[in-house]
Amino acid sequence: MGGLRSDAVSPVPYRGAMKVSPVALGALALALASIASASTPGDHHGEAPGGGGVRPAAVDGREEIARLGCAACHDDLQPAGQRLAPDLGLAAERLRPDFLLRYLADPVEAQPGTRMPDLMADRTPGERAEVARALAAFLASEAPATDGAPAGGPGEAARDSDPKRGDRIYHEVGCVMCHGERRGGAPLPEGGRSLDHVAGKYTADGLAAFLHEPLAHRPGGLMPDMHLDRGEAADLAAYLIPAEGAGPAGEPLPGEAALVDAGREHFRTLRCAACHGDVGGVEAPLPFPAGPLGAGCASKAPPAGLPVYDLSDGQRVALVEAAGQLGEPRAPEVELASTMAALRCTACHERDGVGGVPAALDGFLTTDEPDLGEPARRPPTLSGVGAKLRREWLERVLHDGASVRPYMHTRMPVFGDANVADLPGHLEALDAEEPLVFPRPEGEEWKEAREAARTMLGTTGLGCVSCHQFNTKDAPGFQGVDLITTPERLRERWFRDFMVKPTSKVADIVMPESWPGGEPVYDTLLGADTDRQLGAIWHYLALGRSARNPKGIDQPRWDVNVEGRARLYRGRSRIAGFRGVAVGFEEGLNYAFDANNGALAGLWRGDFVSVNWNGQGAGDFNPRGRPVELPRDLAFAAGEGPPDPWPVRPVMTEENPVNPDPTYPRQHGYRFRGYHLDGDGVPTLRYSIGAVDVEDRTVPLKEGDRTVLRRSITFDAPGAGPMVFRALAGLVEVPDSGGFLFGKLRLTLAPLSPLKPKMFELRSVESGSELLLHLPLPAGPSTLELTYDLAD
Amino acid sequence: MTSPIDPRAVALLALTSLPAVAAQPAEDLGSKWGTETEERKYYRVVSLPIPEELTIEAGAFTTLPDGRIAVGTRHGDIYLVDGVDDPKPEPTYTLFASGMDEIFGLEAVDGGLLVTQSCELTRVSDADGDGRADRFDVVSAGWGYENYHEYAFGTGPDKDGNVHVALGLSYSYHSRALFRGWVLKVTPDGETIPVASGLRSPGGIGPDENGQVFYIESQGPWNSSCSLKAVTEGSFHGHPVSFNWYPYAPNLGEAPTTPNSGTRILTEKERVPELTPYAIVFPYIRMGRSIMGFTVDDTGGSFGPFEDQIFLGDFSLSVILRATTEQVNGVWQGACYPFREGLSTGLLDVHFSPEGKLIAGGTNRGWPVRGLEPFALERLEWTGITPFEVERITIHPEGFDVRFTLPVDPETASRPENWVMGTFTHIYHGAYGGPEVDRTVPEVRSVTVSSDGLSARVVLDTLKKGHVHEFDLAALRSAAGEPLLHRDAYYTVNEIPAARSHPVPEDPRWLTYPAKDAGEDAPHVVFVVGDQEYRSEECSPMLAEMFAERHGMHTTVLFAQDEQGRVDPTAKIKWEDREVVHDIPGLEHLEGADAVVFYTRLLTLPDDQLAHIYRYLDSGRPILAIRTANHGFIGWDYRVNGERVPFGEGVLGGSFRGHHGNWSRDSTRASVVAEHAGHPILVGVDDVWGTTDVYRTYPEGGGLPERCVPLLMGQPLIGRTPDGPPNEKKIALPVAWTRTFTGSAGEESRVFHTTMGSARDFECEDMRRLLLNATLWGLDREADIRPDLEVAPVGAYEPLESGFNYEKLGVRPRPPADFR
Repeated sequence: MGGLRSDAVSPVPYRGAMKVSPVALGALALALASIASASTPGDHHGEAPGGGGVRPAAVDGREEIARLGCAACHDDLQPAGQRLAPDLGLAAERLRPDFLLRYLADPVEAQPGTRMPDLMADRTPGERAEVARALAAFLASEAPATDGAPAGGPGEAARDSDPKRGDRIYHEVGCVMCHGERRGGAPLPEGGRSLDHVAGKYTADGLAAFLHEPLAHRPGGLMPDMHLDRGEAADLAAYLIPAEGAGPAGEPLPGEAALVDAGREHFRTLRCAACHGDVGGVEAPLPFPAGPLGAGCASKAPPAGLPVYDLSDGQRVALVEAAGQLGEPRAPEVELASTMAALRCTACHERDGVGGVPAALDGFLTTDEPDLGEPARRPPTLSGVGAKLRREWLERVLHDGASVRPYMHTRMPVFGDANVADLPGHLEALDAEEPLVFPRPEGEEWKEAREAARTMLGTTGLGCVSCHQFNTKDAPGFQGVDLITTPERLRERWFRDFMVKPTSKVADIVMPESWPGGEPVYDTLLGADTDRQLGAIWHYLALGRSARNPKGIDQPRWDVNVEGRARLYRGRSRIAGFRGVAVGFEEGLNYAFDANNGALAGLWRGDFVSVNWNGQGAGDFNPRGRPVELPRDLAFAAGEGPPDPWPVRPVMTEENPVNPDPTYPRQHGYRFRGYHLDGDGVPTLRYSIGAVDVEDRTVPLKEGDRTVLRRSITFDAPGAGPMVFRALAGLVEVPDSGGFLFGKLRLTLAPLSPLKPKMFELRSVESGSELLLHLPLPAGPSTLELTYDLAD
Repeated sequence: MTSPIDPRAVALLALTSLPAVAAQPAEDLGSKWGTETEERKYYRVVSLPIPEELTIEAGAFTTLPDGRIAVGTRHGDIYLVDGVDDPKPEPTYTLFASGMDEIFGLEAVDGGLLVTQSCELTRVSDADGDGRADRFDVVSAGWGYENYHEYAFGTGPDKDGNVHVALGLSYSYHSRALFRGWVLKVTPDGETIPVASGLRSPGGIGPDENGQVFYIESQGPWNSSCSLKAVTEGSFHGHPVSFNWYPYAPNLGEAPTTPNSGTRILTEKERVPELTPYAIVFPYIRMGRSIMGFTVDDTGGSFGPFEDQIFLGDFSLSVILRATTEQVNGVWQGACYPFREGLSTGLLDVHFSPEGKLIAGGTNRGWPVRGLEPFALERLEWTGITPFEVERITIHPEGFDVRFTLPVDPETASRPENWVMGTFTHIYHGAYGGPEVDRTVPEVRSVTVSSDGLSARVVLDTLKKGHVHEFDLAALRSAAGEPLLHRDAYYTVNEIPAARSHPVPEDPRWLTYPAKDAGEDAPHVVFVVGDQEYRSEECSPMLAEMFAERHGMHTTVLFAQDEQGRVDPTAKIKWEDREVVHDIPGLEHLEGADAVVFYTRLLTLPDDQLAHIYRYLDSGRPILAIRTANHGFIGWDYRVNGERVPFGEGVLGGSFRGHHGNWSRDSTRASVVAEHAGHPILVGVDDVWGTTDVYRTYPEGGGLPERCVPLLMGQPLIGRTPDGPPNEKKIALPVAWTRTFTGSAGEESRVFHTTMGSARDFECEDMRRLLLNATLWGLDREADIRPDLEVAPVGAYEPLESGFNYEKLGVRPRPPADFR
């Protein structure tokens, strides 16, 4: 940054030694010690951290307070936070009407283990049903106007969805890690939650909408966004709600205005908005001093009028205990452990011996690159992740869903910004290592370092690019993490230690040790100095896009192919100049037109063009067959008698690089006007010569057993007058068989050409001869038809 | 495209061997701002996923009438993109056109898209309505295109339908084909007019919020940093290699003098008048290194607190920057600010979506780029939380005015040592890039924080013309104690506004408004104010400020006030209290006034104060008077040739004889007197309505006295709404007229009087215009009167109602400063 800084951070000198934060190792043990250790029955909330069964189950009282939304009423519990409850504005479009009515009447009965308390414990079943009907009517009136279906129209989910694809998605992207496999076999992971209730709860469209944007519906973050696109969400919904198994969803929700009003009033008096937020203008009520938990909602028999929660004894104990400790801030490691357990990070990731995918589910971790070994399919360890990843990258992963392992089928979800806001800071603080900075060499040394790095990375060096993509280009072998992302993601010290001993950071990694014991294998470069070599690689990768490809990585080739419709491609080219137009046909005949000068510039058989879109390439094209090249000078001259000499295009040379005739061919009356395409994509080129408008259209045509190009040039002249067309120039031959020969090209007047030249003039010029067609243009349109036949 | 690449490497790149990636030297990208973690709290970057099979290297964006976004690409395709604003975007992409040549300009126009591609400006349309383009009509190909690196960037049509096209040099260093290094203007009928020369490697071109066309220039020869430059007809932008095409631009005359290399740009501007200095310099690396497309925030606030500012995307650093412009002494300049880092690819263009999110896209191909994606589309969205930022910096004669997005803590902000400043400039030379030189550290003399905390006036010991003025405001805090999200800002000073040498010293007893951009001859207009009914104390400062800010007049407002120095609209008059003597401090300044506007009512002034007014009436200078001014004074004894001349009847040509319209019930619709419709005061005035009723100033059956020219006739309307019916029982009477008046020294004054003009009446645009025109006419400046002179109040203008029920209306004595 600016030259004004007085407080710039100076680089920490590299010392080559690793210092482990004493905080990191003991973090989890400490964390768990401070969480109440009461055990939990099989309800779905308050699971222990870790699905791997490494630790005994425990209830995190503070997390319970947040999840149950206690602070919605108890103002003194606000330091615990409050996980946002589902957005009820979307409930009616998401849920089956029969479920919604049952749930609103008696949530615990309808869905055992729900976080939603029973707010009507003192009412009769009849009263409950009445309130539920009114609430449901109110919620339905507030649902977005999509005719009960998610955006895109009714029944969208069902239309193209495929339960088979849904099955694959379910078992591949990571659902199984919390919800268990559904093909029979493995038991539900510890603390996991079966989805058996889902078919009776959601409509297929509602479930698809929910799975597509879970955080919009349930902002608390306990069901994360798995990056499912709309199609995937619909497939998954179709899988979870089989068409045959769902049963009728009940009558549509009532909608009478009086009922809606009654529902709004219940919504207000039952304080629904305190947890669920503002719906239909009913504002969230403020919390109040609500008295001790233990004597209220968290007691075994709550006094009448209080909400009744479906709590275990363990939860009750933990809640009361945590409520008493809210004044004491928790240590970062405790906060971290709490968040990771709540969000079930540990269902997939191991950190410091806790968590990880249980053996029974290991088979669901799959990859496109099995040869890259276990790390290609297993979510990475989070031990020391704060020392591994730069803070900004952690944030991009957690907030933006950044990812560098496209081959890994299990997805890293996002949980919502607010729910993970503290994670990067805690990880950074807890895992901190003393920073390491590779000094950047200067001048000649930097040049040497770059070359050395490039050599080491290449297939004739250490072969890094054999297994790693480079700059988004495929590796010759396996497509491991793109090396160029390294400095963007990793911290230098971690990188150095990892390179020296990869397995010290990533167990099971299939990566050779190229600096075993800190000694370089490649001892002919950079003085066989490990740190210089690693520093060189680091800084080379930090060049990003401007780092040259190491050996073994090839530039992709860009071909433009013709399939079906004719293809037009404009761009600079050697064959047709900078204002070149290439036109290709499926028949394997192609031509190029120089739109700058108005001349057919070349023709070729075979594939269409390749273009240069590598590096700075501006898309310049090259014919993929060997072309016959025609002169690129102005092709037409209006008026009596051809100009002599013919006005040829200016040519720039190394000695005289500036265009000496910059208004050519404009001063000769030529203007390119554009082109239009017919239904088959065949272009008609448009230009004008003075007052004469020209339409120039070329198509492939079967003539006997030959495919030729038929060119129709239609002139529209305001008055009758002569026009000269310089069709060829150079070594033009006149064979006995008719027409004119120009290399492999035979040019003939089409037999039925409406416009007949008055004369074919072959005029001698320095380069050979010019073929000049004298055309007697009538007023109005007239068409000249020519055949261009290219020898095979 | 920018190409911060080695000239020798480029010179080898002939057409037949277009550059392989191996030709690029490796380059460092410099350090990051380090603000990404904080920035994401305010502006989120959301990926707009692109299907795997598509390559979309966005080069230009536009919004279609149906709300879809059209994207033109480096591959020459145009995709129509639907769903960019969805909460979780999963856009659909429809290929509309393909096969074009590097699209760097795209605008939806009637019946299609206007596309700037390297070879030409093309109108692309779908004639058969099948959703795919089938007509490609050349609008202009009026430039040479024969060498490598010849990119073309285009604007959309301006209000007159003209498109501006900026053309990069040949091989990045030469001008070998026609108009390379120029800006051309293409008219709606395809006429192509050369407008400006001296470009190097433009990266984008477009209007700022004022409609002024700017282009962004890249670092390189004659440009040591990227910069925004204002494109005006005949301007020369610093790189003389393209002078060879002046013979083909006869509309611009001879080529400018060739600048000397190795000096400073403002030094050369003395020799080369066409040379246009960089309006905004973006310090190299710190503020981008290959800035490309830019756009103006026209989202009406959906994108946060930076409305009407310029947002720019940088290719190399994958960051978004912000800039503001202003014109000083006819020259454009302004400031730039960091905005958001951490985008995924090299940015080629940015564009606001229909919902006010900033779409950014591009590619990281070909040049060094920080973002790792080969190509990407992303959108920036405001989280709704306002960051504490420098909103904008503007210049004043002695320093800068710095506005903030949130109130600044006055304690930290008013300490000069917390404003760490420096200046530098660049060598203006033909070599590639260049260092920051001539560094100075200005002394911050004082900082004054506004009462709302939203702005600070910084006074320096000196401003350096031709220098970038750097601000490092790390020490500032918001009122809530937060540091600035971005501590840095950079203002490029080309011109310093003239000191606003107001003829009247500042004093708590009156208000002075120095003329903005005043020349030596700025007129001084004094308002003499003191009434008890029509809130003259509210409308007069508004008019005075508008005259000063918008029309180059020094203005002063002198108030009648009580013994504590408070403006007192509740003061009694002599009829109510025989002892009353009013007081208007500062009337001695009428001596140097070029015009006076009287808005008094029944004031009894001491003789020495009246003497100043009498002397003014003798001076032959213009006299303007509003409403109650025609009975403005009691105890008046002005004499001509020994005869007492009353102020109303004698000077103004009429006095209050009664409420012709019903007092405080009728309103007035004024119409132009047809016979005098051509009068300069009526230029642009055709819609005057006010809540005041019509005064009668002459007896029934009479008329205006001689030498009076009636301008407006006021028809009483029933009720106080503009669409109320005319009061049929009342005829229209004159409510505005001019006359001439000859004082005791024989000098003749121009006089204007309107009997309308309560503070509420001046909410009417044409009422304000009437008074502005009258003032200009009084100053003999009829030639400056135009129908579209800006007459908007400078700030909010919400005057109180007329009337005497002060308590109910909230009218009470207040110090003059309260009316500023």
